[in-house]
Amino acid sequence: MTVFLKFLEDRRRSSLWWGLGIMAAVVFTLAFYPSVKGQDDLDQVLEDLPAGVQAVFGFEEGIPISSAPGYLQLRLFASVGIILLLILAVAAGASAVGGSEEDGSLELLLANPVTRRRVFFERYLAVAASVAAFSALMFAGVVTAGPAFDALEGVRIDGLAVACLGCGLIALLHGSVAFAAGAWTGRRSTALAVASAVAVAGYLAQGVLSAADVPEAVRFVSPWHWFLRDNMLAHGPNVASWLPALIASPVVAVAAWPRFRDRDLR
Amino acid sequence: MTAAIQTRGLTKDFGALRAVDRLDLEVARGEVFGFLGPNGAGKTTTIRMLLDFVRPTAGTATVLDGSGADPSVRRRIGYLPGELKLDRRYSAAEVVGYFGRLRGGYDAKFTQELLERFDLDLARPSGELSTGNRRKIGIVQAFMHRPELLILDEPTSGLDPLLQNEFIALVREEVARGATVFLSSHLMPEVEALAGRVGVVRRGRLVAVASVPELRRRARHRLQFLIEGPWSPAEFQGIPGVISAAERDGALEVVVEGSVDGVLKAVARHPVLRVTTPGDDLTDMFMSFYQEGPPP
Repeated sequence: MTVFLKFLEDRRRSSLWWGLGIMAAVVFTLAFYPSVKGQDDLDQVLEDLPAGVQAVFGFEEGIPISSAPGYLQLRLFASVGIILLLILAVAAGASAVGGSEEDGSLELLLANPVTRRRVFFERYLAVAASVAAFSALMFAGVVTAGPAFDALEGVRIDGLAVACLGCGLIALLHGSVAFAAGAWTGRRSTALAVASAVAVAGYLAQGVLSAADVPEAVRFVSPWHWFLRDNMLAHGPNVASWLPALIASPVVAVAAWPRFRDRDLR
Repeated sequence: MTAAIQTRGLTKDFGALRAVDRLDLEVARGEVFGFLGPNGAGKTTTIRMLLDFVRPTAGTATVLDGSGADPSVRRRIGYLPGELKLDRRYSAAEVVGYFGRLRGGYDAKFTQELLERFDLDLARPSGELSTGNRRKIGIVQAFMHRPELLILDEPTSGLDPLLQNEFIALVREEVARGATVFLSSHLMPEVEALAGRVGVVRRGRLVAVASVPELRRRARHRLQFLIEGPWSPAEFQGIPGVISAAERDGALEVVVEGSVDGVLKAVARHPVLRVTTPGDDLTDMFMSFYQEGPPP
């Protein structure tokens, strides 16, 4: 696991900053909850919004935003939290193979007695482990800081845990797209572009399809919908929020393996 | 035990460009083989095929009786790339530690000596080092596990003359220990200093394999003499070995193949103010090899 560990070690400095950033985002989000709590007019504003906009906000009929589950879903899991994890995952995925090939360090690594297979799979595992660690950190942050702001009132802890897991896995799915595109092309910029395009397309599709009154099966094309369709903080864990992403992430990443195995390095 | 490196019909196309063309190489164990050719002749592409970074369009390459893709073969190779691209975050100590672990151990005492010999700052990230210091890290990582085969691509570029000498001494020591060296270069002096046999490559083709003395005998020199007083190029044409003699910017320019003795003695009849030997273009230098015509 030398390649795996070294990849994590190489990112120790940026990981520290990411960790601080995520903690700051969590604490700031929680700290605003007391001023939103019980503000019924806010709920009115959201209820008047079109269904597509409500969907991208993670708003769900019957769960007021002035309640902790509604507020956290909207402010953390449908926005700041997921976006931070997603950027982190995409950056790590893009640098894992594509980025290090582009800066030339992959070639020197491969002059050592390591196979391409080993570099590919160990680095992918490292990306996944890194995203998992930051999701766990987000969960730990909400659980520890939440009570100070009454932000866990009516929040199911098992639902919160699975929401963090689901959030991390949606991020990892996009990180896997970046990883695969990087391994396919050997370019960091392409990896970033492809993953961003997938994220934006999924985000927009989720909004548009929610408003279009299409069957549930069609709405599932957007990964965001897997995660945002149900407020787990209020309703408890939901398998659809994490299982599809857990399966799809490695499938997407491994799809690039035959190409990386057989092509010339740049 | 067969050759250290053997290629058969090794060919690489990049789109319409043929970078390496039906290359048949054989490098014996324990020898220093110079792979000499101008920039863009396909030297680096050949090395990248030996190490399985790029895959041949046709032909085969055998390295230490196996494939460069095989980790057990790579463990026995030390590679110094022409354009060394270290992760900018890694210090020398980090490179040694990481690559040492990947190689399942290295000669710690020897590595320590190398680090001292090349006077490396162990802790500084390579991104903050000068080109010369970065190259030293490259040298250390290539030699630290005392490999059987050293693949060195333009090894002394970016090193100051003192370090070049140190490097040449190091290569000689490793050869004395029994290592094989494949040395790619576009500089005649670099190859002369180390190699026993030399393969001359141009446009992806191996045009000749010769010993260094033979290479010296057949290489062309371009000499310029600034002469005081009247002289004419005609005096120098017809001297044995002279390919051409002409006036250029007021100076005499002579191209000689083999010995320069005749020309020097002829020039010495005049008051000579200055002698220069413009940087030789390899294509120029090995005209006699190229003119033998490509093998069919």
